[in-house]
Amino acid sequence: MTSAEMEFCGLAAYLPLEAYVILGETIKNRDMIDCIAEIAARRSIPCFCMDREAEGCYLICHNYNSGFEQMVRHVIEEHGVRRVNMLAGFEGHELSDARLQVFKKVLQENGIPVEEERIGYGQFWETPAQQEMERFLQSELPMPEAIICANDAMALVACNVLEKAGYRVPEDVIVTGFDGINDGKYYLPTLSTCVPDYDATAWFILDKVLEWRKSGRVRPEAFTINYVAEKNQSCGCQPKDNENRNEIIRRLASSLGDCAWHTHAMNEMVTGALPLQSMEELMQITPKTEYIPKQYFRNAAVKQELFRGSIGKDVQGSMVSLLCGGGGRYFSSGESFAVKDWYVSISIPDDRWEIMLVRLLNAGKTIYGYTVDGFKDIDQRDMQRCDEFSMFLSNTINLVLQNQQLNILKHNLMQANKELASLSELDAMTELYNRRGFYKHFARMVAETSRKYAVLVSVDMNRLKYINDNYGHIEGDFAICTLAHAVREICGDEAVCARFGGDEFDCIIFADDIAELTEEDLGCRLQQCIDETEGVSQKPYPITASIGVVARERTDELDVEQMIGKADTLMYSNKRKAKENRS
Amino acid sequence: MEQKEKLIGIFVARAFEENNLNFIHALHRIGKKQGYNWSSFRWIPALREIWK
Repeated sequence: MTSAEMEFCGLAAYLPLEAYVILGETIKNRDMIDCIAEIAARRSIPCFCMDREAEGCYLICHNYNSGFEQMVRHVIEEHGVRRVNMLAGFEGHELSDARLQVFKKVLQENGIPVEEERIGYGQFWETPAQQEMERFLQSELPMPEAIICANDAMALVACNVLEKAGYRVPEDVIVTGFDGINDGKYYLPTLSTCVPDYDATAWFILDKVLEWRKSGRVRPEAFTINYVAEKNQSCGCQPKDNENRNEIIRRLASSLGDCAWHTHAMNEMVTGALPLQSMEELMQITPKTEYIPKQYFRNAAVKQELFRGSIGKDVQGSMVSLLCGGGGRYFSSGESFAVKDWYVSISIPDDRWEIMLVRLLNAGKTIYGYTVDGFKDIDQRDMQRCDEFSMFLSNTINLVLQNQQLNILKHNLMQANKELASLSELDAMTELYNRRGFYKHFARMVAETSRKYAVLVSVDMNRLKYINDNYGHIEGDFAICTLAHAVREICGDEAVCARFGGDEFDCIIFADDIAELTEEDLGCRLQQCIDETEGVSQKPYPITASIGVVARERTDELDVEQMIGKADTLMYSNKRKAKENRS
Repeated sequence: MEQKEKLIGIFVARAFEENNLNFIHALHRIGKKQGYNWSSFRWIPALREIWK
């Protein structure tokens, strides 16, 4: 069982229930049934499980062999029919064979010979049933007075085939089915069939709950749901009338209209969420997409963790109300509450509700939250509509979360690109610009600054090879970083400083006054800055540099290459002079 | 308030037979006479069996 299903089962644990009823046949997951039974056992309340055995539960089983004999006897003994055909299911199918044996037994008890040609295997569904019906009509045996079918689906086919062939049901041929499906109720003539006795089942459950209330003890036992014959129009026991049919058609038409309308409303909800980036935004629009007036109330809540901590504290097991209201008025409360209080948190504007439907909001195995709908009474379309809402809302939440995730990724990607762009312009060792960064930011500064002059400073370290050869490359790197630091210090914040090569630096300074930006001034300040750098005074080697300075008026036509060339020439000239002075 | 607290919970998968709804209706109709409401817990659709 997935953790999502487990969590969902857990919701029931916080509801003041007096009994659990598990429709076991609809639940394919055995662990899920065991989990629900276990919760009931922990709470010491009765648990009823239909068609599946579960530990500590009252077993309620359909007896699919019951009722059929009642119907066969009704047709033969009460309607006095002598020529009877049967549409069985699969040959060799346990239930089909059992019904066929009942059919043959009743025939024999009434002195009617069993003619194999009057038996067809319609396999419980339309196409083979139609083929068998056509075989009956083409048979040389006298036309049957009744056709008894092993299920309703085949009985409806039998009615249609007879009608097309010009026979009237039940005046010419009686037709009966088994199951009590809704199609049989909508058909005219309404189908005589066998239906499970659910009233008796409900009484059994309520009796056992009452017993538990009185004694405080659960004593599991088995109960059988028997089928009973429901004698309607297709056997001639009820008069044909159109009143019921009109009502059925009206309801079906209304359901069809509702399907179209609701699909449209749900589509609006999903498309409205397309541009949303967060659950907070979804919470704002969800109530506006809610037009369903029939519910007494509707609530939807999602896990707080989906809000990325923006609402309240992100505590495990906390939920946030996404939508609540009723009677056509819905709002988003944004209220945060512990999941154990989910039932208490439902704001119910009308307390006349009798039926509450709770559904999962999920995408596959990931659970987002739940929806709760309250009704006075309910039909199949109401249930479908609530299912549609929970499915569409799940998809909408999924969409918003995907957007949210994409947004985070986009932001991270942009940040990473920015860092990469920055790194591609910087020299890793000195953190000054590299050649690419120098030209880019030089162009930017020329366009942005209003300073009058541009001063290009070319700097080259003296005797780096001597330091590398005698004290190693780590010391050489120290000397380069010290010089880089000093260059940045003397050029100021508005300058663009770059390391062009191993020990070559070029800087461009924009200034209105260049009186103090001469080679002599800058050279002195550079050396002073180097000497004041921490650790330099303890080094056994001197760190010095040669500089060349070129100043120009700042114009749009400023030729930086020409300035670099000129400054380099001056710098090398100064370097030569210094070397001559040393020797 | 007392009446609302008399609740029976029904667990059912999303895809279910019409007869299940008939059963739910019967339990609702008869339970109502004794002051019971019901709640239904429904989840992930299960594969539907064609034949009983």
